[in-house]
Amino acid sequence: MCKTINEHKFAFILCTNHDIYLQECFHYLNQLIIPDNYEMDILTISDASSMTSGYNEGMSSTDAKYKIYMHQDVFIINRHFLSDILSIFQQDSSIGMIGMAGYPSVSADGIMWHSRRIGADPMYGSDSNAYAHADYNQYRYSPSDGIADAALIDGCLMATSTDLPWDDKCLKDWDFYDAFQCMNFLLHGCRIVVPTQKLPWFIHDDGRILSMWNYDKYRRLFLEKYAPYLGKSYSDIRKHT
Amino acid sequence: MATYQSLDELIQKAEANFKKLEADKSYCLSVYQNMRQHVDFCLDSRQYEALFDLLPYFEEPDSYPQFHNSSDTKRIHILLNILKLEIKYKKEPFISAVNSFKDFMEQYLMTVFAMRRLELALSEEAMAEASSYLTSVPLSIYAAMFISQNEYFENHGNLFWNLYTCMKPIWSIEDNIQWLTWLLEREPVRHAILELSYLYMEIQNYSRAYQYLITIPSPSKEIAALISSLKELL
Repeated sequence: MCKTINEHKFAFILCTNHDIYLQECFHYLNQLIIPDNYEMDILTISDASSMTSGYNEGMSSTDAKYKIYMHQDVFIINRHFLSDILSIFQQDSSIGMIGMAGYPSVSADGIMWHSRRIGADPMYGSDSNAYAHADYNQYRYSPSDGIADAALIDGCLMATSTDLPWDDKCLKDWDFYDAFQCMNFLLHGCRIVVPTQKLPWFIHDDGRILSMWNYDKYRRLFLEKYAPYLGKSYSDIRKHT
Repeated sequence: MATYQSLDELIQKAEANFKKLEADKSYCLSVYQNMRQHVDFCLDSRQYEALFDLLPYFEEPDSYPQFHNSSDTKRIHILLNILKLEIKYKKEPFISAVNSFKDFMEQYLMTVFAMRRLELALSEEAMAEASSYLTSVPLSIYAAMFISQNEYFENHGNLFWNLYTCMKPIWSIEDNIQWLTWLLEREPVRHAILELSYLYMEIQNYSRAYQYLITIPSPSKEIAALISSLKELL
């Protein structure tokens, strides 16, 4: 059955296993300003067997055109987030996905952060004082601030305007779903972009720790499946489409 | 971004790191379980000093190299650091209201979230909820300081001042002085200097009050008058 897409709807899709984080995540989502004539849904999947299966379940259960897949420990502090991503998607219909932090090329070893990073400032919260006097209530993104193309984006937040299934056949855990999905989008001819964020748009409260226990298993799968694209930039990869 | 001499070196290092991670995995997970059990026991039986038995896991060189790859264990380490100072300065421990590791983590996270709401000040309602939570838990200045240093906070001026406003009626005057002193070490903001001076006057330490007041740039008539009356007093 063909689903009618609601062009004026956003859906946040979250896999969750921690009620305290989820409630705090909701707190920030509930502070977002919804653009006129648009609506917003929040879908949580609490019994997912993997990130990809949870995201596929979320994707198929909403008619929203704009889906924001994100972690339960991501707190969006840019209250104009929805209108800002809308303005980016509307700039160019080939933009299929927006991330907050990204990488213009695919690292040769498959580890995202071994490439140059763009977007969200990794110094946030590092005592750098870079945003010591930031006024988040006054901040507005302007299209003139710019966007940058990426090959890969960090899975903590991935906003899409196009539905492509997540690879739940290969990916049975909670790792590498972001890199696989980015390759999927690029090879379908979609642009992936990251906005310039003069102030942080979100906080990823991961305790400054990244769990790596299953990471290598999926890194090897990635290296195998996307071997021709290792070390390549987003533009090189899109040439293959 | 890491820098390497060659692509081969990058790939070899990644391979070596993942091998080490895999080799350490079962050992680290079992130690983690033991740590949780130990924390559960100490909190339930109120044997707080026994928590320090866990310190070697964090502080001995080369012990459990991959062990820090867990936000839970990182927070146990923060808890130990907080507790050390709370015992030293005879403060009610941050953990005094919890009976298990799970309770501790819940209180810890709720405290981080409430502090962040004070820092960001996105709405009055969010601030009020945060204040209500923070005043309901035994939050010492040491707990607040360690949390502010180890979690994601950026606007420390806002965080410290808003937390001070919230906790002032609960913290002792000495704690309030210490907290504002820490704030001023980060950022010499006028309202905090003034507040700290008033606190020193309250405990009749007029020389310290004077020392702080004279650092205020372009003081108002009222402040200038206060400075001169303090000067006479000294």
